[in-house]
Amino acid sequence: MTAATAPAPVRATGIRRRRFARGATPYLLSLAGVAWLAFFFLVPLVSGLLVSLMTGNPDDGYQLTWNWHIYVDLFTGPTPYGTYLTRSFVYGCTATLLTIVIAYPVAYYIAFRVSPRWKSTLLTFVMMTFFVSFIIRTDMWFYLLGGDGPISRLLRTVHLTRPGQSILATPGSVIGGMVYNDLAFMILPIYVALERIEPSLHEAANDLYARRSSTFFRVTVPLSRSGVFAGILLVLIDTVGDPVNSSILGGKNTWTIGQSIQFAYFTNQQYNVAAALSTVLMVLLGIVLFAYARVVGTENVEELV
Amino acid sequence: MRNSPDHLTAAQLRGLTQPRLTRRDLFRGAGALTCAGALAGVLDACGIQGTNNSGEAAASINWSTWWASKKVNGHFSFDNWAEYIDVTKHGKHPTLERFTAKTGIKVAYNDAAVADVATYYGKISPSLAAGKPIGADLFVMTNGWQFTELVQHGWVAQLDHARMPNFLKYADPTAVSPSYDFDALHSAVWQTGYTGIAYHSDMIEGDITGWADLTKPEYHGKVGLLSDLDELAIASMSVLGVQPETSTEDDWRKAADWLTSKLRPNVTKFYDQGYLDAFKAKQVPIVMAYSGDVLAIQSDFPKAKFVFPREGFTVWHDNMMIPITARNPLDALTWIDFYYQPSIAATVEDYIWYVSPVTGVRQYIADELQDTDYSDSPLAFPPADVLAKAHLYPIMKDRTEHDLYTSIFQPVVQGS
Repeated sequence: MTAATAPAPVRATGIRRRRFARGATPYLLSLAGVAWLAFFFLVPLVSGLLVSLMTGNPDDGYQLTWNWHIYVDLFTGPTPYGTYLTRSFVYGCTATLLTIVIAYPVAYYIAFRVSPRWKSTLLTFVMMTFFVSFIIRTDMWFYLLGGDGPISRLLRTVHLTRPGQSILATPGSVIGGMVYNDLAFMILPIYVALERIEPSLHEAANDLYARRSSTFFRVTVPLSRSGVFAGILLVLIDTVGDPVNSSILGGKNTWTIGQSIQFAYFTNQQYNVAAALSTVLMVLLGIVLFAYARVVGTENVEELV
Repeated sequence: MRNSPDHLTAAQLRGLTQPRLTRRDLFRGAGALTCAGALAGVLDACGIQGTNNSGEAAASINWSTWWASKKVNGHFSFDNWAEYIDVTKHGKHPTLERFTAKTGIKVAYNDAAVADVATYYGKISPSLAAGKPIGADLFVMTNGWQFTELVQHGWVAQLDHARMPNFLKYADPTAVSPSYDFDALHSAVWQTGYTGIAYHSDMIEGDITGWADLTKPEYHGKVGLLSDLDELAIASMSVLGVQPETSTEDDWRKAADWLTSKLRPNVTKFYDQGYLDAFKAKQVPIVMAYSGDVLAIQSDFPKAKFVFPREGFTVWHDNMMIPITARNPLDALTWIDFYYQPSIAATVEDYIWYVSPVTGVRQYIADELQDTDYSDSPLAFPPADVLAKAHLYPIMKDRTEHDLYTSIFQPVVQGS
């Protein structure tokens, strides 16, 4: 078809060259991005998958034997990885929900209720926690929540806990640590989404006799959806795979999949097991997030992330 | 289309008819390209090299020439467990300072570089397998599976006893040729200690004398155990009356069962070396503990008690080892020999309260440092009838057995 519509044959080579240049430009322009994605995302992903299909041990080495059966063995072997995985998702989803519940009012307040000159101060407060390393902050909670720490003493004084009972080393302390550590990751995207809502839309809703609650639920919330989604991306992925909160603030029954991966990789050197667990975790997270995106709709998420 | 209408210019026509790059095409192309690249790259070098044969290279090394080719560089780094050397209020280490003053060799001392044997081994072994330095020129390793692996893989240097006059003169008979390292060829003992039970007697009712006591219902949620599988295995096998040294798979399963069904319900957490912080902060009243750790803090916590469990307990040896890839092996060796002097070892010992591998240390502490609390302590130096119940770590004959052992005891720690 193109050949038939091509004009005078005399200029054919020039056109072809120009056509090639025009066709190649977008590829050339995207080269840096593609290379970045390939090197830091696809290569690790594919090599992780391949390592998971190897068999062996550190002494004999690991050979690629296309051992797909490992994905069955993980869940039927002596170590209950299925339980750890479920637990991680329960912790991660709970922590994500809690961060939304806490972060939304904070973001709303900063975006709509504060005079502009206070905004940056308040946002600095939100980001303040990042000035101290995340491990150190988690470790401080270990002392605050521990047996003789101020929080447990307070709880004991008001008879919320029995003497000798500790809130440390429970699922609650692990989830609490996750919420504390990831709160800013939820506040900031929601704030950005709320901030760009046109004030005139609220006025319009008001003019149309909407009550304040229906303005909030039918105007503000739908327009901030992309911010919540971005927050969920950041928080859910981070908390489901997190080994730190559960190992510092956790107890005997809070072992998570993140700890399993770390343990298999660094301590036992079962590289195939570690890679298979990471692959399973990644696929499951992908499914959860994709399903969420489909159900809630995220047409304007790309404006944010 | 064959007869192009007049109102379309050639340029518009080209734009309409030529294939253009859509975003989807771009992603598809990029994906396929990188997938192919990644596959080719990884498949090319597929497999991760094993370490079975790495011992052979080390076996053919002539160690006296190896040492002769090294020179003193004036510094080395030392990876050790937490609170495992003398330390002043200002965080200085007097013995290391005396070493630097005497020899001019500076020491980068990494306190708490080791918090758990298996984790530390997991951290250093990939570098050693690749023939790369691990960052430390000297580290402390407990006798056990990992110790044997390090020696058999040829990852640690053989010590040149000709350069260690103090070691030859002062090493305790037990340290000259330990059962796990014939003729002390690859290691020099740093400390010997015991794993028992420590508790705050003001926080719980009653006395504890053995592992079985920890299963009492009144201690529910008050027990902290070490996550070290060997320690858990020996404690549980002692309770069941099994000799850990000759134990079999069947014994391991029974022991793990006892741990899971009897002891675990009372446990609040499994710790690495961090148990000591938790114990000192009174977050957990009863812990499985290393003897010296607890004895050394008894002056601050007079109500803290340490007991040798009546059923049996572990005696272990922590050893200094020099990785074969160390950049400053001779500096590290100089320190090992420097440590093997009664006056130096005694200074260390008076802080950390373990058992020194250097002869005359107990006497030196009693006479020169006049600390009879240490030298007369039945806990630092248990009597013979107590020592008769001490066990060494079980010895694994190969990787398969070790993996089996690990897979049996690991679920105790990680839970279900």
